[in-house]
Amino acid sequence: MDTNQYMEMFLEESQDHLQSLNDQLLVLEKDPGDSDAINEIFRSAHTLKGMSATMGYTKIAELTHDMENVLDLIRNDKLEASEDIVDILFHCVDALTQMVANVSNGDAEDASVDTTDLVSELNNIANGGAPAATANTSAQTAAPAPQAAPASSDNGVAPVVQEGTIGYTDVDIDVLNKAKSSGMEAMHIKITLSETCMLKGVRVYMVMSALEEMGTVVKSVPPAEDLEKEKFGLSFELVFITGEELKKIEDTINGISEIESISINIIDVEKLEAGEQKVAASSPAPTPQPVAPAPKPASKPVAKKEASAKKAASSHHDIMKTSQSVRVSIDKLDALMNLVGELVINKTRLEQIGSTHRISELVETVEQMDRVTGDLQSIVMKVRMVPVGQVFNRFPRVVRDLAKELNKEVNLTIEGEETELDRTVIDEIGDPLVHLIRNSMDHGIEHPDEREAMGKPRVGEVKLIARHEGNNVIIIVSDDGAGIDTERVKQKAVEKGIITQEDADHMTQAEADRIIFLPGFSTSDVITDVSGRGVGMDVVQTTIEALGGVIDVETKEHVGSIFKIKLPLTLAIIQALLVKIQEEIYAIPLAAIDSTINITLDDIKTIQNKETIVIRGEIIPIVRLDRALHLQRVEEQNSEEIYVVIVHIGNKKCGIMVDKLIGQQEIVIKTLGKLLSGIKVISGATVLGNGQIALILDVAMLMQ
Amino acid sequence: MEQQNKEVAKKEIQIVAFKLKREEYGMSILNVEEIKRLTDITRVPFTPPFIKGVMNLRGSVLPVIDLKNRIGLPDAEYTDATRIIVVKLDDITVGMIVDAVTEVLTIKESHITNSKQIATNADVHNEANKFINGIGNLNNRLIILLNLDEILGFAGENK
Repeated sequence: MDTNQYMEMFLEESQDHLQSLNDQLLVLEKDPGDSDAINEIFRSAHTLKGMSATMGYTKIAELTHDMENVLDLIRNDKLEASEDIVDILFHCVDALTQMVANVSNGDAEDASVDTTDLVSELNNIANGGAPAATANTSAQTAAPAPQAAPASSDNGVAPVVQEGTIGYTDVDIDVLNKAKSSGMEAMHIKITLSETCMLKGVRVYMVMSALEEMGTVVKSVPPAEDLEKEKFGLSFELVFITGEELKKIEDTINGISEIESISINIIDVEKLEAGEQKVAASSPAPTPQPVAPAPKPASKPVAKKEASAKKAASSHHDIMKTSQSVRVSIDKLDALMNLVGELVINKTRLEQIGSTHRISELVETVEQMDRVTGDLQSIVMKVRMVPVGQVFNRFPRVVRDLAKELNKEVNLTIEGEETELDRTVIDEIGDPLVHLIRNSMDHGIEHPDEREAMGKPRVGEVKLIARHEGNNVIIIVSDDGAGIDTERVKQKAVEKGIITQEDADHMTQAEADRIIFLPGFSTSDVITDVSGRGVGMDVVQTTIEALGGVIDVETKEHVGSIFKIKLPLTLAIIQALLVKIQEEIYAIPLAAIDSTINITLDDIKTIQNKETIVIRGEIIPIVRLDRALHLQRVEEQNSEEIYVVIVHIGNKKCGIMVDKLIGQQEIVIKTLGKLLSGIKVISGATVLGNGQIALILDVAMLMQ
Repeated sequence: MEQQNKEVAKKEIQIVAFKLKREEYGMSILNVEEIKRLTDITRVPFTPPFIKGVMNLRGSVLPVIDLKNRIGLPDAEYTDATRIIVVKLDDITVGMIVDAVTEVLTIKESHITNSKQIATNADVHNEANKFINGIGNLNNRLIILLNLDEILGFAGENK
């Protein structure tokens, strides 16, 4: 069977199941008695086993099989999901994740992964031994256990059930079970070729291809390679899964020449399982079980059937879901996005022609076109949107591992994982969030004892919240930990020479809070694995700004910190205000604009050599854009009226003085290219309706 | 450069010839995407003086440099003959303003003197020398062949 075409599906589904394993293990860890969680885990492990066995990844199949043994015990209340056991299961999931990653990279599945220890530990547990980690005292007595009961702790191949001459392994039976529960029939086919047959290989090939049209050949005796090389006598046997009638199959095969006889029997899967049970049960335990009796295998077949039935149900569900969607490469979407961008530019151009030449028919048509392009644009945008949950779902595990590592108790709350963001933003936002969460846990949340002493609950709260706010998405990472000690931050920054003592003394609270975002800053005295390497928050800030976002922090000592990230919904098309300075038109992203005002030169006051204006009692510094951009003044401005665009980044406000306001417009962002990269105050360019190019101002950079 | 010169040694090359002031220059036709008339150029702040700005090339943003400025020749007014040569070198596409584009020429290697030999020649300025690959002699018509790597060598440097 050619498995390549299923590779992508296998990898994708494996990822889903690994994610679900992680999620449910976390649930189980919190509540060891949660039967839903354990059932879910069992189901995922089981499906993973079936899939990997079908794809020929025996190592993954073996490990999941052994996991299943342990999970089965937990599910039947024969074993308690203790911390150690959950730990080992987590390690198994890590190993599986690595193996799946190897497969996806095209390496051998077990490259750089050694499952031997895990397998033996699992077997140890399955045989009633305590996990090795805690079994110091009982190690001596527990050690022989794995060898003691080889029958129940096989590696997925041992209990071979015979029917005819075909041996069925556990994995085979699973496959048959799955087929049965989805309404297919498993058949045992024995074909004998006529003695005069010259080209046995060809006949085999014809039989196989005829069968593949009607179903799937699961197994053959002798194996497929031997059949191809004609290494068999006159007859061979197949296990075949199909939805077709027995009669039809018989007729089809009979239609192939040089076949002496065929016999087809429907396989009774339940009987096979019973057979397996018999083998397992009748296998005597050679040495007595020192710690606890081996699990009674009697419950196994029932459990298995139930699980596979559920799995079949869930796989049906999957099919339902996939049939309604199409997978498209992101490149194609980008190309589509570009084309829509071009269309928007041309539409704007037509609009201008229509209004300058006063052609009412054209204006009408363009209005309709405007609606269509608007819809088109919003659909293309939506297509590129993915729920932020794709990034969030890895955090429960991160938090759990970190909490263990740091010896802290932390509860992570996630809200709004269904909030959608542009694909490109999603890809980039993961690392900054990991960083923020690590920071919250390392620097923020105190040790349980400390928390208790301060009258806080022992368990710290870390929250990860996403929500829409206008044309933006807000992501909040908050904790109820120690907060940021602003004085210490200032002191550290002075020590490291990032700011001067004078700066520190004159800082407002808001400014002091932002010190942590300065390059090279770290408060941690001890550099840990977790955080504090001094390459932290400034990188987070840079990444977020590169995405057109803003990060802010609110903190209160002993109460906690809140990091608020504001991100644009999309990066490709934005609303902007066009302004004119001398000959050039610049675009200012509307998201950063508070308001625009008219002032006269007299309104400008100078404070400490800086030009400011006062608006509604608020003192706002002014930037003369031509000076900020080092443009040579052609003529001194003598008009009475001055236009000022008030922009804000976080809590900071600033007025940008421009020559003329042109108007609000939707613009398509284009990069300036490699040659002009690194110009800080310009974040890109856009083509206007008249073909002219306008540069897009990076307001955050301008204010620095 | 060595390799490029060797390739040149084997066969004839085709060059686009253009004028800067009264001198004639050339660059390999393989690097030339197209030739445009002068259009609106938007100035970009915080760039070296030889970068004139960006122009709209069928919806994409194309940086434009003034070639005379870049290789140290004095400024001149743009005229009707002024052209923008759209040059592509590796992953960089850039427009270069020249005074006029004359023609496409085929030139034999044997007629090209390479830049090392010129370096000993006192007539040529050292500063401008690094931008020059060699000089082609076509029936006493001298064509200065430009080193595009060096001309675009500033990519990404400006902050």
